Amino acid sequence: MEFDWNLPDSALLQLNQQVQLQDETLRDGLQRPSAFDPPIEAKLEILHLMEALGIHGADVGLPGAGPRAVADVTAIVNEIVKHNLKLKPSCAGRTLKVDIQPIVDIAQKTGKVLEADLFIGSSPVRQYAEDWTLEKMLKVTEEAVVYAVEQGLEVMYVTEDTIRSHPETLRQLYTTAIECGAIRICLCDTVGHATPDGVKALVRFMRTVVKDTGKSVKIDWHGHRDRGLGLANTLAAVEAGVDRVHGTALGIGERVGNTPMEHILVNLKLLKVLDNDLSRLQDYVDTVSRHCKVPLPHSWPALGRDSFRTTSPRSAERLVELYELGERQLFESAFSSVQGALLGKQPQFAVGPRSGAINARGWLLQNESNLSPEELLAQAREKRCVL
Amino acid sequence: MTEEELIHDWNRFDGPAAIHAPEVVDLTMVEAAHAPASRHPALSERLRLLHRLDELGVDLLCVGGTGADWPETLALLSEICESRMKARPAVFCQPDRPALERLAETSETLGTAIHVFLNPGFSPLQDWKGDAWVAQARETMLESVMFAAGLGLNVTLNVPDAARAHPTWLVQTLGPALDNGAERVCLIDTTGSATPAGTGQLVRFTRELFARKGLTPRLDWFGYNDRGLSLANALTAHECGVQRVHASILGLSERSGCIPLELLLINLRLLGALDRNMEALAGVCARVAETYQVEVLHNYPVLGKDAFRTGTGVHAAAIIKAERKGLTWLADLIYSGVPAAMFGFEQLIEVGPMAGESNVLHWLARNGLEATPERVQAILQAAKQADHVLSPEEIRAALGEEATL
Repeated sequence: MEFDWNLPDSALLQLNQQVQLQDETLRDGLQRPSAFDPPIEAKLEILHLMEALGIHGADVGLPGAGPRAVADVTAIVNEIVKHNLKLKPSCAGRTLKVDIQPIVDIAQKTGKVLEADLFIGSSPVRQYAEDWTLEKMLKVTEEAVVYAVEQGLEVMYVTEDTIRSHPETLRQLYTTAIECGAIRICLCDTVGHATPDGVKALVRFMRTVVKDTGKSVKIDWHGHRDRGLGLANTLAAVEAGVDRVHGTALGIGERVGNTPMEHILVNLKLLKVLDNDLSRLQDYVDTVSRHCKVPLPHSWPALGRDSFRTTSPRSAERLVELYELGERQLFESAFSSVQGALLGKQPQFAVGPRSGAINARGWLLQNESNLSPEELLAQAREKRCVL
Repeated sequence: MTEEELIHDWNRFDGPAAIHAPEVVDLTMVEAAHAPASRHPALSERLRLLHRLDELGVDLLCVGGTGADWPETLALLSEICESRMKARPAVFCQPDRPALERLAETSETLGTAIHVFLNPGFSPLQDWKGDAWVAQARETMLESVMFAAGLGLNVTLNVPDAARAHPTWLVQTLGPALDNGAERVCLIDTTGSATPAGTGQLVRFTRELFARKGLTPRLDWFGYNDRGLSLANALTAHECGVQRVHASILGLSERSGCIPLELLLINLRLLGALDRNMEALAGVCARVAETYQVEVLHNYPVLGKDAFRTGTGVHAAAIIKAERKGLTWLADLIYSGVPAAMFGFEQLIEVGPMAGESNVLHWLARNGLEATPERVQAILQAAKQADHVLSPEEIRAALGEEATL
């Protein structure tokens, strides 16, 4: 009965069945100004939830930030080794020896091959503010990547603010990094500037740069949500052919945050690109919310309290009819495009001041009460809020 | 050195050469009433709020329906007309002759054409009710379209659940409506199922339907946020030829909300499609949040408390270096895709566990304190041991006896 206008987009289906996910919650996520850096026990709990969701890799910290970061990253990598988790660990650092060395030390101490995500500011805005020349940036890139590779790290070379960087600068930086041994590159919308058109143009260009090197190098996409387009940009990157996309639980991160990992998972599942088990998704966001002291918004898509709740009489009539007929699938489908069953959730009728008797009837179908629909409705109207 | 000289904008790499802003319909008054987390404000509060909404320069203010809420809708319509607001008044209506007649009379009484968004009374997901029921529903819709046209009302036909409608259903429903007086159609993604790619395909298909009848496509778009894509879908719909977009402030609506009006305007402004002063936006949104008693969370784009804050050393250092060059715009853009000043805000540098010396130097300078090595060390040490960004009180406590300075 339903027609899915989204699925005929065959490019998405053909290109990216193998797209992987990188969780940035424990690194970029903790840079959110109002988030708390949780104790190590909490980080380990979050780590196991990432594993349960089938997330492929996690950036587990920036050891160059100080002794506490080193201790936490070491404990997380040890946990991955101890439990033989599939989750692949990586660490962030600037393209500086002072940031690379602690990653090398942790790799040696834990016996785990680590991915080093080495970043450099590449946009002309940053170059101008810092008085950097391209020659200097190329030299820094070469020294850092060569050193990290020599020390046994797998290097992902990251240009910050890629979306506002000049194509020729990007070509030279990435070609240098790849020639020095980087096996993965990351395109970043560090400041949340991109639109989906911009992402596609950038990814297309970078695929030609990689192709020109003749090397087999993977491409990542890392986005922020300053304009409210983080998720759409990430899906555009998948459509344009990147190999891995980054996200954080609840979208926590610098300023207003990163692409929410839970929304990447839900959308890729609905698009049939991934088939991960999402039954622990609510645990994942609730756990991060609790430990990082970041509230889960009521209206947060798929996972907020109100995402499967209706008080509206305009929706209730057809929903109550389907519920009474026992047409569960049609009921769920008419309720929301995200099936509650995917997440272990039940669509709920609720009664508020703008509800009608039909909402109260729906509520009584799902709950036991001695009140009549009219009495319920009268209470909601008196209190001027949802019961 | 200018912004244009420095920034290579990939968004304009091969996108549309120039886009013009769509018309915007403000649905806040209608949709916020369905947000489970919001309170229901009294009519007097909504009458005051209308004036603030009008400050945003939207084209239509849709204030309610013609059912049980008609008395309140009428009061709101009257306020728009009597106060000579810039926005035109609009309502939604079921396929109901007396209601349409009432609207025609009200338009005449108020001396202003009220725009009508006509719900058809059925959706593509109700085919399970059988062919006879669907045929009857179509007939009722068609009669209403013709009746409204006869009354001279300015009508847009809503298409609920268009994003999941089979192409044949759209042809069978919209074809007769277009033949019989429907001039404009609003495609609605009722359950938030669309992706940008799906939105584009649906809009292009519907435009073709108009074209095949020799009509100029006149299309609206409205969508919900169940998958987190309502804003991106709205921008795509416009890029594909929709001339008018419906939205609600803060995306207030049922379930996960709908297209957030303020983010739509912000994106159009940043894309260069709108040339409008945006400084009133934050105040209007704050007023909506207050009226409906909903919280603007810290991580809400542009309006949230964290939107222009950083506690990260690398970011702070770059902002400070840009400030030292005497270029305010550079400091505002170096680590932000949205210029804070455009919306009446500024970039804030905080001190937390990821801070570097730059953050501390900046804080001391802002607070009129000399940056002695002892002070810098004391604050940095406290920050590195903390699990959050330090409050001013915590920083002062780290400075010990100097806390009262």
